[in-house]
Amino acid sequence: MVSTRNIIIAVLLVAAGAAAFILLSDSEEAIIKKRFQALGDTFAKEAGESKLLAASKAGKMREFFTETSRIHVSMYDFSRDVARKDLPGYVLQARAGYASLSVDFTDYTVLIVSDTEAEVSLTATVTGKLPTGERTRDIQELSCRLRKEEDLWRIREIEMVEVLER
Amino acid sequence: MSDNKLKQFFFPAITGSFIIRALLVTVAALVLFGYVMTPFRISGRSMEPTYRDGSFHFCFRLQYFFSAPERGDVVTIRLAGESVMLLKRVVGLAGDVVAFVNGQLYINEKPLPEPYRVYPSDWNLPPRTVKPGYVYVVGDNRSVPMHTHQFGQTPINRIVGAPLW
Repeated sequence: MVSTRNIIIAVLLVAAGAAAFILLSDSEEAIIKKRFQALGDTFAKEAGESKLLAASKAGKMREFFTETSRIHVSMYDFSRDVARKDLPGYVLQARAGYASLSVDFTDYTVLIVSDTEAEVSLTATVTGKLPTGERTRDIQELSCRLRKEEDLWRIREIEMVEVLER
Repeated sequence: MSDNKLKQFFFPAITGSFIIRALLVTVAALVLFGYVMTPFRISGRSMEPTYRDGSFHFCFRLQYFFSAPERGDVVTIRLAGESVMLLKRVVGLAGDVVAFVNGQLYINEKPLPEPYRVYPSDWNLPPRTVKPGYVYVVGDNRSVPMHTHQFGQTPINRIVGAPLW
């Protein structure tokens, strides 16, 4: 005969197993956040970075974007398609102006539209040090559309949200 | 205070009433510092000298619960969330025409006295009208080049609150 105590123990074990599964397996939202953290780490630059490492990091940036990605900057009425192969050049150019650079992403809102499509809203904080020693800090709200390709979430569209409109 | 009372103060007996009190204090602190007075640290010099880089403040989130922001108010503005916010001063309200001429701020074609702006500025910006439901915000420190300073009009619903001091 099944005692009440055994039923309670069984329910607790199932609940513990379910909790462990949820905690230990990454949700799509957590995977997307990790992708952005990896993107930030790849874009970051430490003082005295070698040209070889800079080229390697710039090349690695391609992994985070689809074959063609679109960039919108509404404040400058700018909209442009960027080919994946051209990205390293732009990245090298952007990083060259800084002695050191770090990128932090916060306040994620992730909407999984389908198995292969997601929308992410977040705040990007870019902290840099210029070769002159001057420190800079830019904060930007971004709205991104992602597509899952080859089991990796890649950015296919970035919009810089205009929080303050001059 | 006797040794016994000291011991009781730092290592109280875990009784039912102690747990209830501890829970109440925890919940009150979470509500107070999470939804009423959010602590924040300033990073940047755009509001100097009024607010110094690195200083610590509280954002009072109920400030605009029953009233709208007014000209001269310092407000916090959210971006995608509230972990990182902008701290700016409201200089223009909906319908106002805002312009800068040689660093002087003009509202509706009249120069606005700004005792909080201490550093010199050479900004020039053609007149523009603040949209309904928006306010025009700018930092107090306008000694930096205009293109490096984040300012402009923003929807009122992006305003989270105001610093307590």
